[in-house]
Amino acid sequence: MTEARDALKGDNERHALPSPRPAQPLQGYTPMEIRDPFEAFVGPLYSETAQNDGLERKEAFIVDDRHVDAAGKLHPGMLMTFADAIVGGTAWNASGRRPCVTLSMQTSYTGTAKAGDVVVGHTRLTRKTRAVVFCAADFFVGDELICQSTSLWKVLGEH
Amino acid sequence: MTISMTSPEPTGFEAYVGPVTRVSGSSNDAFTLSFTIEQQHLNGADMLHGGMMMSFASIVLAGAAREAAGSAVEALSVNCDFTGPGKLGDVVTATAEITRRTRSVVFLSCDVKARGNDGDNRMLMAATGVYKVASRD
Repeated sequence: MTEARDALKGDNERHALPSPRPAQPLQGYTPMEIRDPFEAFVGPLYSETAQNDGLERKEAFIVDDRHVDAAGKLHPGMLMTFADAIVGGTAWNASGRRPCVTLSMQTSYTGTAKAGDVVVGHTRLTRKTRAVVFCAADFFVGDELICQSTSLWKVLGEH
Repeated sequence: MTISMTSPEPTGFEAYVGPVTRVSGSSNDAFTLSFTIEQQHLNGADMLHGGMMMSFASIVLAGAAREAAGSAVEALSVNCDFTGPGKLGDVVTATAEITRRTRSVVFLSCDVKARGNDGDNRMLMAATGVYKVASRD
């Protein structure tokens, strides 16, 4: 996520980047401050407004015409991008806010979404070692599970 | 080596994050796509964002699966291993290889590589995918 890669560069003074589309009101969620150009490009993205421990969190985005394929279905690439963005935050929080990079991500698709749907990602920490963080995320539209991902993150500078 | 647009014409997400173009090489049946890393593809460390790398891999895998199946396909699973960073201006390419094709499922893989100013062809990612072939009812 954002801060992880800012820290990677040792640059916490970057300004938040605007997304091409304005943020919509989304009950229970607040627009994220995004500092990764690609995340801003596909955003806006939203974080749950309620307090959490940083390891089990909910984030969301609203599917629009930029995110779908020719058949009007949510593109798998957008889901992986969203997963990378939000699970990166879990790795960052789990590592004591150390810079982390993605080593591997496994994604399976159990459903899909269409323009106008709100996709909610539930992220959680699975295991943390000194150098590697294991994370998982489940993605829902309403009550329907549409996607699951697991990922490994390397804490830079540790081995 | 000539470059043409992918077929069918990219729309929605694939057009938005691209342009991703089809590369026609020496082998007629190879499915190779390419894009150039631009500012909007970067992460906060000014390297190619992992999300764009995985998106590109999924565009390559789905395109090759669609061509192999001769009909629409849907992603069941995409697995990505990140082996190196991509830089602004690098030309990124990937060629899909069909591992196995059944009537209902296509298994594929692709290596995502980047060529920079130095001419080096560096490995960025190894990806595999499983795609369901849409029924033709």
